Amino acid sequence: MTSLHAVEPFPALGSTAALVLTDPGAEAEALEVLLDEIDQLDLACSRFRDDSELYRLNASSGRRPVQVSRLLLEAVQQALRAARLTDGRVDPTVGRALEVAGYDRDFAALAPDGPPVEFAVRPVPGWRCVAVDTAQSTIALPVGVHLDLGATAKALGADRAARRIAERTGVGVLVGLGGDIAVAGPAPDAGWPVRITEDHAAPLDGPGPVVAIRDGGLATSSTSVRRWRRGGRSVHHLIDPATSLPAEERWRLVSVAAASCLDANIASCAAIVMGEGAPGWLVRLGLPARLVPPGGAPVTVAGWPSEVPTCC
Amino acid sequence: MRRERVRDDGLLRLSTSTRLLAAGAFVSAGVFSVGVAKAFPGHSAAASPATSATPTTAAPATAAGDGGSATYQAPQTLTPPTAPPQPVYNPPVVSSGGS
Repeated sequence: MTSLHAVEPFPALGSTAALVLTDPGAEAEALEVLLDEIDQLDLACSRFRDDSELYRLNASSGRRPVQVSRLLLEAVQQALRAARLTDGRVDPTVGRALEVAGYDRDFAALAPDGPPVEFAVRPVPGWRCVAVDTAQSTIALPVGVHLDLGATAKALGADRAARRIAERTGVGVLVGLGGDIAVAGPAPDAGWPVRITEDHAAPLDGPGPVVAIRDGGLATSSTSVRRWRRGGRSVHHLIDPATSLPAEERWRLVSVAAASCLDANIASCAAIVMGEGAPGWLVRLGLPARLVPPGGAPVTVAGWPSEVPTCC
Repeated sequence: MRRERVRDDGLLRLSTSTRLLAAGAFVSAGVFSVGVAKAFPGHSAAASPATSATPTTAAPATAAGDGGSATYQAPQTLTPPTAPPQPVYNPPVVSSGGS
């Protein structure tokens, strides 16, 4: 049986990074790659750092196309792909809507409560207005359009880091960024055991089922964490692009397994926004998933193991 | 003799008029066709993205948001894992949850 070596989780990208290896001897090399990937991702995709590329891009909306790095180009292209594959349920042009809702700085610096905000119920500008020129490596945003890559960038980073570490060290690796899990290289005999929890930072011995994955990725989206209050109203960070409001909470927790962490995270975010139709959509795509309604029992689809109640 | 000449002249004028009319109609039809083609450009069924009430995995041949990218390659669907997650009783090494 393969023994697994887990590096102590550490803060990264406004959440937590996790690294697990099938060979402890690869730790130093793997950690170097992971830290490099995190640094690059933060510098390219942070909405809050005033020295990030995304910050500069958002500040340039309505002006000339902005030259961007290959990483931001890839991150934006993947965000647009997410929008296309979900009929706009996961749309990067929710940046302004998040700002209006009060999420305009790093979450740790966000006041947990504040005065009322004026929500305007209208669709976000929409992903089709983002002009990407791959050959010139430029992106142009119409005036007033701000991108948020929160639904895709961490998962993309987890995939990239896991792949790079496996290629460089040859060992099996699991990378977790804010609860978005990517695995690469030779899997342990029994797979990678992952606990499904409300909050990815919860203790490993907390509540929630444990499942094993062997390849690709697993992601969980939740409306229970990353919440704040404005004018006495509780809001969360998963914006419905059709209304610019926090998505209705038909599901409070959705976990999805896919061939990549990115695809898993796109599907889990889309399922929260989609609401009632999500289980059927996930079945049609063949994506194993677990959906938990507020105050209800989990629903599992497309091969996700069903659960037997274990306690009262 | 004179009546025959008048008749021949008349037939010649009629023939010339008919030819001119036919040529004019041909040119007019061509011009009209080009105008219509430009005003109502066609599209193939394969390249048209369908709008549906539920999300689809089909990608349009050219997506506005991609800026006409010709080199970018990505899976055109959300891809399932090779095997679904399995229940396991080993202690977990990591948590997947909201962040």
